[in-house]
Amino acid sequence: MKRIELERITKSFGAGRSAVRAVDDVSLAIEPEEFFFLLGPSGCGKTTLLRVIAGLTAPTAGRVLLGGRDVTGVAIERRNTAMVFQSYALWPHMTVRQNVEFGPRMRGVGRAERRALAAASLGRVRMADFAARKPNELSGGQQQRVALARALAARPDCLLLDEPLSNLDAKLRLQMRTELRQLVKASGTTAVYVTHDQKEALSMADRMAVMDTGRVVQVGRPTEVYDRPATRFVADFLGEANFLSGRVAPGAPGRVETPVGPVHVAPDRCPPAGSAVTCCVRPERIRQVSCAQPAAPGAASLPATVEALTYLGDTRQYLCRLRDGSAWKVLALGAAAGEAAPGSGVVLHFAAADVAVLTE
Amino acid sequence: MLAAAREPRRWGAYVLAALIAAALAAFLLTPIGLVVGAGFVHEGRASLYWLRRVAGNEILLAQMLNGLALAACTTAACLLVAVPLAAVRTRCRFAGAGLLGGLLLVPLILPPFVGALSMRRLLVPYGALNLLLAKVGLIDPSAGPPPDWFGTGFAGVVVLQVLHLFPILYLNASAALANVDPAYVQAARNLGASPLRAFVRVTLPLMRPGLFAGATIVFIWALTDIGTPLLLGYEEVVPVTVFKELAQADVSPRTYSLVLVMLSAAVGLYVLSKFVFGRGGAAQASKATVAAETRRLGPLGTLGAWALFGSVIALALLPHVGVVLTAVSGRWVNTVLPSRYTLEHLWFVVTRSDTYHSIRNSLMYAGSSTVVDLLLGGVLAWLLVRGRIRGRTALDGLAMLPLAVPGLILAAGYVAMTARGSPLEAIGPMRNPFVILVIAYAVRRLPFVVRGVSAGLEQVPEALEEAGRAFGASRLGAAVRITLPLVAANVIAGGVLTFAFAMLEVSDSLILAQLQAHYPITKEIYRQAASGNVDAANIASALGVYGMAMLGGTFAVAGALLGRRLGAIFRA
Repeated sequence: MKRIELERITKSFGAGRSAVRAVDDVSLAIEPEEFFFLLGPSGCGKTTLLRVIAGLTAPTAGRVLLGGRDVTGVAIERRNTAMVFQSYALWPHMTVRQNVEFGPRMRGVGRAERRALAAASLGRVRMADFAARKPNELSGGQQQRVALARALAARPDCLLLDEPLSNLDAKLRLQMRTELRQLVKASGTTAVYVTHDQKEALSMADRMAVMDTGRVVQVGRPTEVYDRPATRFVADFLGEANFLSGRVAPGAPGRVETPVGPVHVAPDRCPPAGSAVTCCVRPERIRQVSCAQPAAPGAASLPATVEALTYLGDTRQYLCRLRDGSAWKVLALGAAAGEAAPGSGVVLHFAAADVAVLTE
Repeated sequence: MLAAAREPRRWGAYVLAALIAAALAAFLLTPIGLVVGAGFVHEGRASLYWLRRVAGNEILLAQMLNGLALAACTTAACLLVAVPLAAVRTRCRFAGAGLLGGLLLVPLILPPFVGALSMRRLLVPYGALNLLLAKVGLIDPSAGPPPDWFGTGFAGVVVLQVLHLFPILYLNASAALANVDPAYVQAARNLGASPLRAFVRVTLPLMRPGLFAGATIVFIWALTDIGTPLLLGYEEVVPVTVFKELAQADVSPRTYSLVLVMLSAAVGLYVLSKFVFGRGGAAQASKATVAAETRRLGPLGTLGAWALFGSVIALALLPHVGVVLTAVSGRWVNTVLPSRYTLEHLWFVVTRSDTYHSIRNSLMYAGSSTVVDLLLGGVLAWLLVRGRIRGRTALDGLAMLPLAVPGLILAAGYVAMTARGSPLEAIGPMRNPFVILVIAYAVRRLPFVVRGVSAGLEQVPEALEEAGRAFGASRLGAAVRITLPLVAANVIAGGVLTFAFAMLEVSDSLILAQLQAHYPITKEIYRQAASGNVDAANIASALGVYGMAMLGGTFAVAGALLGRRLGAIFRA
């Protein structure tokens, strides 16, 4: 239940010229009881950062504070963090109960209380009936729950989860998302969760940090990060995005001139006139209409040609070519009437509020 | 369709398995059976007569207990030496770690007998060590007899066996450590265990099967060792008694029942301890998910590591140094180091026919048995890992049996097999022992090749071979073009170790080579050492130096090829 602060954490591997900065000057503050996500592609440094918090990796520079106390030099076992490993790392020579009792035991909790804690913890993840089993007699989903029970039974100040769902099959993963979030939130523990799966982060996180090549690119609530990506990388990494470069027009607030026509954006988020910007629009925010309909006011209307159509069951995905040659994706609900055939001309409509403005 | 496609392969596998099983039955089970059987026959009838005589013989029982105590002490001491070394070597980085780790293996190449000779020379009351201590004034020779550092007897045998055998456990412990997923330890540390507690509660239990395997080899080796007790004059153990009786022309059934008692003790202990310590262990997740965090030691830590490794290596290399010095000493009486050096002895042994022949004989025996082992062991390993045949476990057990059966017992069995009047007399020790010695060496070292090659095969995903087949290679073609190159390191290392151990072999060599023209190098060393000539020790040591050089070379090759996986070969 403690606040986690990272101050200018850097971790380099190797030495001299061949040194690689796995984590590069990262500062973050994670609030008590917050479920915080570190999201990024593989190799972005998110797992290294998690291991720095746990004390499994010593940072090259910077400080880690847990509840205001500097723990940078503190040994792993004295940090009172509990980790759920990607491989679960359930000790194969101990039973499920022994695994779960391990944390309390190391903290000097008496036998009876230890039993009770383990039973309660296993009960919470619905694994009480399996206490006498060995880990290799459990399925992947069961092992995952035991790993979580083991971490929770230690009553940690903060819970660290390293891609805990990545070894499960797709269906189970989906089901575990909700369950895992409920368990973590019910425990009231500050939790840090590492994943490369954007859907996991968007659906489970209170707040998240998107990382790229060792740096934190953007921090925010899921809706903020999805709707207002700070960079092209973030926009691209979280779902699909269409981009259009242009320049802010003088004299007309919120109007961006692009090679394919003007695009209106929310004036309060628009940089000063003359700035070079990139407009970013999510495929599901675009409405595609035939050329005959008149343009709605305040929205952009970009003429395009349908190039390909992919049927996805619940949705249809169109690939459209703008006049300047750039390819845009448009998502329409599967049941929507008026399927545009490839080769036909269309107009792409979207509201000013749905345009994110990138200035990089 | 699939089943039909697999059928012919299965047939071939069964035929191969049957052939190998038959060979092992003939040359492994038969000799054991003969020894066991002979112990139960008295005056032509089945009887417990001899067994009762052995059991009622207090001297023999005392010898048995001596042997067990000896083996237990040696194994425990080896564990105490080997586990900390392995832990430091695998978990820490420090300058010179590779060199020191490699030097730890040198003790394995100590030829038998000469090590004991040289240790005696260095450590007896008027040996080199006391002379050195007197010279620097630490002891006063006039104040009474100087201390006997090593004694002869029990302690001496234990010390020498530990110095020779601890690398086997070191290799095992290193391999076992490398197999423990670091995430297990990290999870324990994360939940509040100190490094030591994490090691004791998590790492050690997970290492148990590997340690058990190594400890078993060491225990049985020590229990049935002839060479060290014989040369140190500690003769109150069963193997020495058996050896002396087997060397006689007519072997009494009493000897066989003695061997039987020893076999039961060895196998019984093996089974018991396997049941207690070795039970399957815990199957671990197949591959480590995080890289092992090795700790870089600071200057103080490095110094400590050097002190730890250095003292063990210095002690373990004492016999080697002694052997080399003895081989090149012209005069070495009452001085710390030889007072005159000469190459005479080294030259002598390669120019005189009996010593030269022993070297040539050994190369031939060891070379031939290595070829046999590679063929047999390679096929067997493939059958065990990929054969998908029924009875795999039984076949595996049969192939591993030589690890649990003392060499002395097999040697006794071969003597019984080729006894006068039997159909195999022509290959017996009294005629030309070439065939029986090659068979004996091959059977004894087969487990090393099987384990080594299996370990390699298990690391080659079957999909690679299947891909080869999919692109048009025949079964044999895929094996030769894909599998063999991928396991080549293991095959070569297995062969090299087989060769090295065959060169060092004692019990078969001493018992099965009875005519001097057919003596292998180990028996010739023993003959020279026991000859009582003035230069006996020098000549024996000179032979030992050649043995060490050959073995050192082979181990260097094996180590370079296999690295840490070397330990997998010593797994029972």
